[in-house]
Amino acid sequence: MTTAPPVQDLVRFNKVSVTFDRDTQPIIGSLSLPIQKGSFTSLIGPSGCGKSTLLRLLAGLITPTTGQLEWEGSPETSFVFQEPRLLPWRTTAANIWLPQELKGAKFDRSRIETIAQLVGLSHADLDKFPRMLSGGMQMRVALARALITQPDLLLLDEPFAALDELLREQLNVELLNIWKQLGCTIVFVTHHISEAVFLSQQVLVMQPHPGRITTRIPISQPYPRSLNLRSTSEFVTACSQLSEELRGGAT
Amino acid sequence: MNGNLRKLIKLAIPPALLLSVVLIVWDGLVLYTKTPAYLVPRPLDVVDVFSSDWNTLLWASLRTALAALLGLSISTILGTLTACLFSQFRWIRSSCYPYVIFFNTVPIVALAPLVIIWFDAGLHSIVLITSILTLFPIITSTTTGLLAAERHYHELFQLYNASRWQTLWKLQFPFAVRYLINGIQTACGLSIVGAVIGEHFAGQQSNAKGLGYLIFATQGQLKVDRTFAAILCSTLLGIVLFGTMTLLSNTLLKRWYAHSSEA
Repeated sequence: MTTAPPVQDLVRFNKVSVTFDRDTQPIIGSLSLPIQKGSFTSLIGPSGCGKSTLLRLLAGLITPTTGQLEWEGSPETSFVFQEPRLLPWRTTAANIWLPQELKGAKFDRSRIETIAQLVGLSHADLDKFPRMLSGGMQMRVALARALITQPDLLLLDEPFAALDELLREQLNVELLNIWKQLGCTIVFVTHHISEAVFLSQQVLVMQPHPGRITTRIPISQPYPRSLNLRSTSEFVTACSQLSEELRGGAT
Repeated sequence: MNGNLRKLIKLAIPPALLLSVVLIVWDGLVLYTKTPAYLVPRPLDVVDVFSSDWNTLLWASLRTALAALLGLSISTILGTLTACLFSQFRWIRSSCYPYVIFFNTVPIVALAPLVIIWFDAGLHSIVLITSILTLFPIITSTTTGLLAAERHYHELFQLYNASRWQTLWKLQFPFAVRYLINGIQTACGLSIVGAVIGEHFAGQQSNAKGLGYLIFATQGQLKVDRTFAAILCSTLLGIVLFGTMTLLSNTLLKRWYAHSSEA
């Protein structure tokens, strides 16, 4: 038997807390958590449990009130928001290129085409304006914009929440393919239990007041995963365990 | 094409009908009350002025249009720059805004003679009066537009470490374009008013005898039919300016949006 290679952390939360208003309870209270390089982690929990705040900490959009994030190197980070947040006066191609443009990079059409293909956008889509695209297509553009920087860490904040069930399942499968191809680390926030179980290597359950991680459920099913996974007993067990955890916190 | 034409005709018929009714009633009332022509002219008398004095009216209209356009251009440039400053620095905005309101509340008929006294009765003074009058709507609407981009979008730019300049130029300014155009459209009508008032006070001494001069000079001579014709010209000028602006902005906007993809 060969020994597994040592697992490296991309980032560790060291007793991190976040308080927006000094008099209120912290949004996140003294949280310690390692996130392994190349892993797929889902965060699940009721509204106000600090899931989005945790993502924003990772993105550097907010800084911890106390404690720190210990990074291994300085990874390139991208964020896919709940809404596509595309600029209406820019074509798909120009929207995808935005992060690179802000870095001062020269417009590279072929690179955009490569990324667009990866997320399932056609060449014709690249010259359309956002208003001409459906909600699902807009989300693909937002995903492509996040991937154009070749991120080491990809953060997704309920990206598929507004889409219908079939499209969500399809995009879940595509997201896993992208993850395997790019080898990045993903932290994925969702409300959706089966989505979390289907995608992740581990699901972290969060509870509010203050925001904290109450349970960690590893999902050991191998990749590539297909939608058939949903009928296996491990999947069903993990889902019911998760929903119990979530319900337990609610009462 | 055919459908468009039909739509246009449908759109034009009700106002045209209303206009004919108004003209007929106007003519009837003047005849019925035996109002003398130096008080209210008959509609046909006004039409006569257009055929007899078309040369004077055309040149006066062109002069007024020039003054209005120059004033409008200056206030557009100045107003946009001011709005950019206001959007970037809250302290500038809060300290200067009360004085910007000055441009909206200053009685231009009181200020215009002073401008003429200070700077002579040339075209430049008329342009200055026009800019003063048109500056306010451009500053306010552009500032509003520059600050209207939602927090969500700012977060996106923050995520990718955009500089202040990049955020202004690639996010706030494109967002504000619609607002700026709105401001210019409001200013279009005001620019004609400003030019006419300026020309009135510049008066006889001016080498720029536009519609403003014509309106008040003919009034003094009790040639009310000519006054009416000149007023009509300035109104038409405002409409033409507004329409051209709308058309121009629509086409410009389209092109500009498409080109930003290559930026």
